[in-house]
Amino acid sequence: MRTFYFLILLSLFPILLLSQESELFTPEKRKAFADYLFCEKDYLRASEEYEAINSAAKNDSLSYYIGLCFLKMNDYERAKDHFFLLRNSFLGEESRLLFLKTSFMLNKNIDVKTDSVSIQFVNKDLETSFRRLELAAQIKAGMSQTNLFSLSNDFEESDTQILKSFAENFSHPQRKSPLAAALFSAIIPGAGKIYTKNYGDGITSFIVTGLFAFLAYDNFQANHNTRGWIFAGLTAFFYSGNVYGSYISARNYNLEREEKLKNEFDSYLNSKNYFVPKEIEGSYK
Amino acid sequence: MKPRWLLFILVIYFQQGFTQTQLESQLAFAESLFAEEKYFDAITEAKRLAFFDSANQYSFKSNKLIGESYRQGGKLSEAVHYFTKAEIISKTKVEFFSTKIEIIKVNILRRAFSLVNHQLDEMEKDEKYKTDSSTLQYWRGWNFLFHDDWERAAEVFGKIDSAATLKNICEEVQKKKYSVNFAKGISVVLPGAGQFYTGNYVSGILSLGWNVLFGYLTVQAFSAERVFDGMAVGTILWLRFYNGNLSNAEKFAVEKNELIKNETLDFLQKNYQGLKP
Repeated sequence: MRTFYFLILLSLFPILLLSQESELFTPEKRKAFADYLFCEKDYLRASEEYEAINSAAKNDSLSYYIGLCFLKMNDYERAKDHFFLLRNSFLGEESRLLFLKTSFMLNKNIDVKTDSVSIQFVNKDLETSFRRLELAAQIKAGMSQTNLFSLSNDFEESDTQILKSFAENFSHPQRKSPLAAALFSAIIPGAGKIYTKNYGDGITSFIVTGLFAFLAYDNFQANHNTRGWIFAGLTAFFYSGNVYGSYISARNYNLEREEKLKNEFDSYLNSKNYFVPKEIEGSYK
Repeated sequence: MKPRWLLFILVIYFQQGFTQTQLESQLAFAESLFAEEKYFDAITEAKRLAFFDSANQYSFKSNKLIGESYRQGGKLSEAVHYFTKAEIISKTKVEFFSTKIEIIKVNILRRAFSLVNHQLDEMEKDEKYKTDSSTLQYWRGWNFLFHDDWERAAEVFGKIDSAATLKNICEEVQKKKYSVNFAKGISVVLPGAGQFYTGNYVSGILSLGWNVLFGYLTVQAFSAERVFDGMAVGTILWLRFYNGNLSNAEKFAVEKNELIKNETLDFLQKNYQGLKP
C-alpha cells in the first residue's frame, strides 16, 4: 500500500512542477533543445538558447558553446571575445587555442593578447596545435624559413614541405617594380604591361598608340594639320595613359600576388582546420 | 482490476494529457508568432515543438509552420526542406497535396521554372489528382508568369474561371512589353530609332548624332582617296558607335521589359487578393 501511494505521489510530482513553469522551457530542456539546434547547424538559434540559460545561471560550458556558435557563424569578433574570457576556466586550454584561431581568421596581429594565453598547457595535443598555429601566423607575417624551422618540429614531414614553400613566398615575394613597368612602357608602348604579364592590354596598347601615331604622321604629311593635331593629341593621351597604366598594372600585380598567396595559405590552413582538433569544436555532438 | 491500480492508470493518463496540452499550447504559441509576422521566433518555437514531440503528433504541423515561416523570411531552400519533411510525414491525401503545392509555390518563387513544370506534369499524370487539375493549372499559370511568359500565363489562366483577373493582367502586360527584336531591327536601319521606341530620346539623339558624324568623316576620307584614314575612322569610331547603338537599343528594351515585369509582380504582391506563391 505504501508503495502504491509513493508511486501516485511520484506521478503527481512532475505535474506540480509543470504547473509552475512550462515544461518545454526548463533549463535542462532548453539545454537539450540548444544541443539539438547546434547539431542541426542552426547556430543562431542555438546561441540564443544557450544565452537564455546562461543569463539565468552563468556557466563556462555554456559560454564556450556560445563562442563555438559564433565561430561557426563566422562571427569571429564575438567568438574571440568569448574564448578570451574563458582562458582561465576549466575549458581554458581549448578556449586559448580557439582564441588564437579566431584571431588568426580575423587577420589580426595575434601577438597582441597571445602572451596572456600562451601559457603552459596540460593537454600536450592542444599545446602542439597551439604552437603550430602560432608558427603559421609567423609564416604569414613573413618570417624567413631559416628562423622558422629552428623554432619548432611540430609539423609532419608533408606539411613541413608545404609550409617551407609558403614561408619562402611570404618572406621573399616575387614582385614587379612599378617604376620599371612605367619605364618599359615609356620606351616601347605596352612593354610595361607585358612585363606585368598583362599580355592582352600590352599588345592593344602597342597597336592603338602606334595606329594613332601613324594617323597623326599621315595627316601631317597630307597637310591635314587639324586632323593631324587631333590624332597627335590622341597619341599623347594613349601614350601617357599607357605609361601610367603600366605603373598601376605592376602595383595591381603585386597586390594580386599577395592576395592570392594569402588565400592559398588560408585555404591550406582551412583544410587543416587551423591545426585545431575538431573534437573541441563540438563536432562530436 | 483493483481500484487503486485504476487510480494509478488514471494519474498516468492525466499526466500524458498534460504533456499533450503543453505541446498544443506550444503549437498555438508558434502559430501566434507567425500571425504576428515574427517569423524567426515562430521557427524557433515550431522547432522546439518538433523536438519535444516524441510521439510525432504535431510533426506535420510544426514542419509545415517552419516551412511557411522560412518562406516568409525569404529563406526558400530551407522552406523547401521543411515542406518536404512535412510531405513525408503527412498522413492524409489533403495534407500530402497541400505540402506538394507549398513546395511548388516556393519553387515558383525560386524561379525554378523547369522543376515546377516537371512537378506539375507528374501530378497531372497521377490519377489521384484528377479532381485537382484546376489547382494545378492555376500554379502552372503563376509559373509562366514568374518566368516572364505572359502570353502562356494568360492562356492558362483563361482556362480557369476564377482566374479571369490574372488573365487580364497578363494580357495587359503582354501588350505593354517592348519587342527587343523590333528595337534592334529599327536601329539597324536608322541608328537611335530603337532608343526612341523605348522612350530614351536623349540617348537616341546622341546615337544618331555620333553615327552621322563618323559616317560622314568615313565617307569623306574614302571619297578623298585616303583609304587608310577612312578605314581607321570607319572601324575604330563609326563601327564602335554603330554597334553601341544596336546594343543600347537591345539593352533599353530588355530593361523596360524587366521594369514592366517587376512593377506587375509588385502590384500582384501588394494588391492581388487571390492565392499567390
